[in-house]
Amino acid sequence: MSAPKVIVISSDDEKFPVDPKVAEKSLLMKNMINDLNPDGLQEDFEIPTPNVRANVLAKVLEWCEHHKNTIFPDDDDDDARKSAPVEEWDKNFLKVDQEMLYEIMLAANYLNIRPLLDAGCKMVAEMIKGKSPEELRRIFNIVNDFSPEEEAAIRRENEWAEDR
Amino acid sequence: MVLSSLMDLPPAVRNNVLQFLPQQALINLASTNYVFYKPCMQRLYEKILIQKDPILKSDPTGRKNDFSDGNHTVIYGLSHQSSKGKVWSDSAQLKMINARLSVLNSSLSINTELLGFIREIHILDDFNKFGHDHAIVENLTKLVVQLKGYQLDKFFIGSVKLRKKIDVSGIKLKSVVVDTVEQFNALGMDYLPVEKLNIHNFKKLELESLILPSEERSYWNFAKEIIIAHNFNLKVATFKLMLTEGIDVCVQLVKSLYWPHVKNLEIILGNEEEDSDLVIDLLNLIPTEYCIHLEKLSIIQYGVYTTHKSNEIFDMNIINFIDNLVQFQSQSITKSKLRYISIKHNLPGTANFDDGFEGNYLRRYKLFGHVLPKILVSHRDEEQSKINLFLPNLFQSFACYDQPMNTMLWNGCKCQHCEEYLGKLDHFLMYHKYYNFRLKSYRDLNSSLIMFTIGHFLSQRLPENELLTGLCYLHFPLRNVLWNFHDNAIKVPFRCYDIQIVDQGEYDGEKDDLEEEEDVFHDAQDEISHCTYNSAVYNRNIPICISHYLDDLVLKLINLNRGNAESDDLGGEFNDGGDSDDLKLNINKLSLNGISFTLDKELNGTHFFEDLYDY
Repeated sequence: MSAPKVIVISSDDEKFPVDPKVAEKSLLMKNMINDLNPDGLQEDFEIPTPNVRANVLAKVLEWCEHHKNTIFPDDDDDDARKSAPVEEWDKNFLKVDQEMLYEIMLAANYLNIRPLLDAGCKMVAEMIKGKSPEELRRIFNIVNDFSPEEEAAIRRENEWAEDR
Repeated sequence: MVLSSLMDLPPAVRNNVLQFLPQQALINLASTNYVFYKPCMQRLYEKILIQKDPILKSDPTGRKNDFSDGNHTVIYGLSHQSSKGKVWSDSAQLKMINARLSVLNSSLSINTELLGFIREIHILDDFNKFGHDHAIVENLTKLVVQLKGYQLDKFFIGSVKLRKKIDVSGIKLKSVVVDTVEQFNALGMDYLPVEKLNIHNFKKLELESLILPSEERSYWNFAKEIIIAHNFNLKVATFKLMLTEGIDVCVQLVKSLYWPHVKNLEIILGNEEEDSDLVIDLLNLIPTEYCIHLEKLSIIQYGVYTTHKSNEIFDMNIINFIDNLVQFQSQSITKSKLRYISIKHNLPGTANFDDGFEGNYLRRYKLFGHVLPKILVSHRDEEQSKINLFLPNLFQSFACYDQPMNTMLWNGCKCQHCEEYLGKLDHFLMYHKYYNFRLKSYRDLNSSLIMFTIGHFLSQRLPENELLTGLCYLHFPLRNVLWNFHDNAIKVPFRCYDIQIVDQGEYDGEKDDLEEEEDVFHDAQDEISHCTYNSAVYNRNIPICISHYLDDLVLKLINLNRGNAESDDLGGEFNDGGDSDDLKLNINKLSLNGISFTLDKELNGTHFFEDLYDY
């Protein structure tokens, strides 16, 4: 008999059978597996993810499969997390359109996969760096709700921290 | 739901992005929409770092970027050079720092909500040494007054002199620096359960971290009178362990620590007596079998060893210790946890040892470029977190070997950049001399001294403070420290000459030199005049040359040798830099003397590296 699998079910009812080690990259799934199977996984175990569409879930699980043996810095070690550039594999993996990138980040947040969320956030951060407010509005589809006076006041308030 | 805008992301995800943004990006994003204003302000004001120098920034177009520039909002003066290439004076930098502090104080007084966002403030410089610090002290005092009653994690002032001028006792702090017993007692008003500095109250503190000063007498006074005398069982996660006293006292101090709790450890050892057996004995005191949770390790050489031999033996001993530690950790149930190592040497200011400029350079090169990295990966299977390795003055220690520095200077990297700037260094040697304290005269500069000096200034990219320890390097962005070609590690500036100087007499034997009583000035003037070497020549350019020199070391480390088509020696073993049985690359960041490399794999598994800041 083959080893029991974790069957991850997307919001549109697609089923993804994966090894427990892969599913456990998600803290949410890891806790569910451990809490509901205190004696270990004896048979296939289904986990619904009502917030994640199949095409996004497929991507997320691909990431989990690739990183099943990777140990990431502890969540509470901010310094180590910030000192780590986005790995080349992740960078390539996250070369998707903005909408997909956001959906992966959202899924990583929901499934509690901190390193994947961080990688997505770092990709977005790299897109934000070096851009003016106007460029940021255009690239990220942000509506300006400040008056020119308010915008100027924000600049004045934080002038002490401006790069010069 | 269609996620078409950054604004559509839930706040928790959006805020996670902000932690990776540097200060200017936070200000720009805050100005786009009110949704971003408050979370950006929370990040911008959370950790403030005040220092003279700007920080180094990674190449925005580079293949790799780290996010250390988002660690702190830095109050510095100006970028070192204006757009026209002018290097700003210290005075201009100080005026700008002061102006920034004034605006910060004003903003905090107008919008008091911002005060509640501040968690950490670090002031790393003693502005006094740059002169006219009065206005800065005044502004810092105003800042402290505004923060009175607020709860912060830290308000750290690195300089004792500055600490005396600025009283932070009105701020509620989780981490405090205490210089006197009176200060300690004053702290215990309402938030620390302490009335007097005695063992009873000290125990009540339930400290997570205890960092004593590195000055021997102060350290041991506290260690003996408070910790050892009371058989205190210290259950701290972070500790500085100084092993510089007699072995019996060190044994008692080691026994005072509850080792399974220790996560971050700095060890300072190695006296000037050069007793190599003592170093082994002291390191053997540390119960490596109980260091199962040790995550960060910093080792600092305390005394200056006067010979190459003793330095090399010290290296062998500490690397052997790390080997034992990693082996024990990998065999423990928790598996290896060590993910940060820093090793710092204490070097003579003259880059010269009693047994001459020649030591076994290759041994030291191999120890740090090959043996240590191999130890770090060989006992660790794939399921280990990556290590950050800091060797803050490794290049400076290499500079103590004359021949390899000659090779580097005259037969080193042949790229266009190095041809130009190593050429400038070569030229600089011909027109400058250094002051030799032993001979009491100015002598010809050599490649060792010049490289040692460059290494000295490069190492200052990392914060150096006894209370921050060598465990803090990931916490701070790298400083962009300039060198003006004249200041150096021995404090007496290099002297400029108008004509090319080669004092052949120096090479005819030191006996003659010792008899020399008068300074030889040749035709040079006594004062520096129109020297073309200054910070503008150094800025960015010279560090790139050092980075290129260190590239060879990194290539060896990642097992990458694709050969050189122009090399006569084509019989060597080529490696594609992929993981092998005895080398599974498990290092994230490699910081060599302030030059920061990140290591990674191509999609096909080949290793590659990138210098993050010197590009």
